[in-house]
Amino acid sequence: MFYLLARALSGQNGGIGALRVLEYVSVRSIGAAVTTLLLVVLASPPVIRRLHLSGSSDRQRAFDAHLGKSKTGTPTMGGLIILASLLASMLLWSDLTSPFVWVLAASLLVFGCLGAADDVAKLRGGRADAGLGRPAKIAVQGGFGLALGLFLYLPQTTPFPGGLVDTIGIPFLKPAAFGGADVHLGWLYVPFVAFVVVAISNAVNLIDGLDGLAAGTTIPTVLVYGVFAYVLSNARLSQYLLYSFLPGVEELVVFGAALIGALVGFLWYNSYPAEVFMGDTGSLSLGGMLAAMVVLTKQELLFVMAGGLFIFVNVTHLIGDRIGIHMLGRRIFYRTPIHHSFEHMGVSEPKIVLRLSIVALVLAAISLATIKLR
Amino acid sequence: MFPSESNSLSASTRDLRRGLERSLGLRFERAILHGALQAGASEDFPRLDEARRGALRALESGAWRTRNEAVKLLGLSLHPDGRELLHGLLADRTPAPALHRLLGGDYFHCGFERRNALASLALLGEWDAGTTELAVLCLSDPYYEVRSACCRWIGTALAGRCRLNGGTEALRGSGELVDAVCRLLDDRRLEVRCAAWRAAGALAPAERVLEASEDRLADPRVRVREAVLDAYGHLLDRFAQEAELHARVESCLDRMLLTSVAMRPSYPVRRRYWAVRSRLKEGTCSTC
Repeated sequence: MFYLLARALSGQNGGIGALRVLEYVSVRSIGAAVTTLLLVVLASPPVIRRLHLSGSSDRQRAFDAHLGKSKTGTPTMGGLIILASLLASMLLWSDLTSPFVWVLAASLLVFGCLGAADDVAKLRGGRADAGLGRPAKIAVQGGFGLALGLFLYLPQTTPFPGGLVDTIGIPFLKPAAFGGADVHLGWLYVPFVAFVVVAISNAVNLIDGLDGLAAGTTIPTVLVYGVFAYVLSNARLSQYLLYSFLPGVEELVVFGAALIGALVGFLWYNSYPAEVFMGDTGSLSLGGMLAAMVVLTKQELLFVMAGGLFIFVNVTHLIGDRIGIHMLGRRIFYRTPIHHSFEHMGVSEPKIVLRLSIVALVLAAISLATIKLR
Repeated sequence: MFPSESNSLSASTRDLRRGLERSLGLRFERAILHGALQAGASEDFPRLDEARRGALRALESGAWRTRNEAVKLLGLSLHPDGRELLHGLLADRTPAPALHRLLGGDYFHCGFERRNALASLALLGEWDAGTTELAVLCLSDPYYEVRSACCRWIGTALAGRCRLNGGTEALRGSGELVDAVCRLLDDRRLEVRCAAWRAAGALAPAERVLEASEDRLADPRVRVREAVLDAYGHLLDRFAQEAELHARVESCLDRMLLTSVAMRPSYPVRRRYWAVRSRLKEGTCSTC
């Protein structure tokens, strides 16, 4: 809204030139981050109270509830606060005519609704395992991924310049235009996008098991993709750093900043000991939005590094749960997802969260180094 | 057995197990620490005969989940043939299918079945010479949860929550059992190491425990140091009058590393909440 307003008012003869600052990506990003941060910090207390009164409280198994050590009863579905603040920030600071913004808004709404439906099912069922079934979740995630893949692949709708539509960026390798090589997936790009969306959204969903862990580890990853979006959307910078220019992805910078602001604000209440959980409403939509950023910047393979922690948690969960518990009838790790193994080994929750956040930060730093190291 | 038939058998066995748990007021997860059920404790469960018959039927299933439920039912229902069947299951070394072995499996009766068989034996509560032999075998089981469960069971038995033929001295006098437990003090699995330390404190000679603990006073794993402290606690219980032992324990404590990554949350508001709730439940408040 501010962006469109500024463009309308500053472009005319005798217009207000100073308003042009509202068109700058940097100004809009800072504005978006501050907006979401303030909204989440200020709106959370009444929302937490409302969530509690509406019976939206966590119901994990608690053998030691009488010792006062259990988290059962902590209000959940706090992701709603993140989603609402992001929507408000997008309306204020994003270019609402940009297809990139539509994609991000769609991912926010689709995954937010999916997560909320999962949370509501759990609350109604009265058990943590009474949520939506795995097939239903995968169907929605995959359906959105396929739709996104088609949107980005079809010439009538794609926001990408011709020639780059079905390509994916490879870390440490320059594009063909700068003497390197391009990987063209052809029509396989569509199922590839669906796979990326399903994998990333589930990965973030899975890591949300300790106070502040999902938010603390997602922030560095979002930061990486925000920086990449800035580089790719700037003609001079992308030329200098030998990247294919992707006009329009600067909206991802604004969105990424808003997301970081919202997550930092949420950590205010979600850090140990948590006053509110984001629930699947938050974690699934966080994953969906991150997946959209990954696909829109065409840096899907970089996620193996930038989101290495999510992949590690997922792969170990797959081995420990699917192969170990379900197939072999034994534990391979002490517990899965793996952060619960660390708890089992006696490491306290805040320490695990801090250590894994450090790992996420280091991976983010290495990923950012690939901008130049090619 | 067709998969659908196996699934329904598994579900019905699970229902029976849950019913028994409710009737006994005991979750199977806590069976090992609970120890022996009182004779006839399961008689109040109206579907007891069905549960015992269902356990025998489910034990023949090809699906491990169904057999696993059967194993639990044998203990919870205090099945008259339970000990014999569970001993047989734990001693059975039929290998798992090749694909399972390739992925990390070992025997036909999978790790969870064997671990739960020990828990069921703890509920059945008898310990004789044959049980000691079985325990020695389980302490060298390839699956770590079986080794740690066996250590915990020994601790439970020595704490008097088991009917020991020959008393605690019969257990402490078994050199084979003591050796098997002490070998696990350096097991590669943390969970086993911790359980072994606690069992050793209750079972092994004080000199042996104290000597082995010298290397563990600054163990990087805080859980191990916690277990060593528990072992010291058991030694002090066993040898309350021995001043020399007290001095040695004190000397070890002086050298123990106390920094820790472990910390358990305790929410005062929740503690107070449950305190009020329990008073209401017990009817100890003046308005009740």
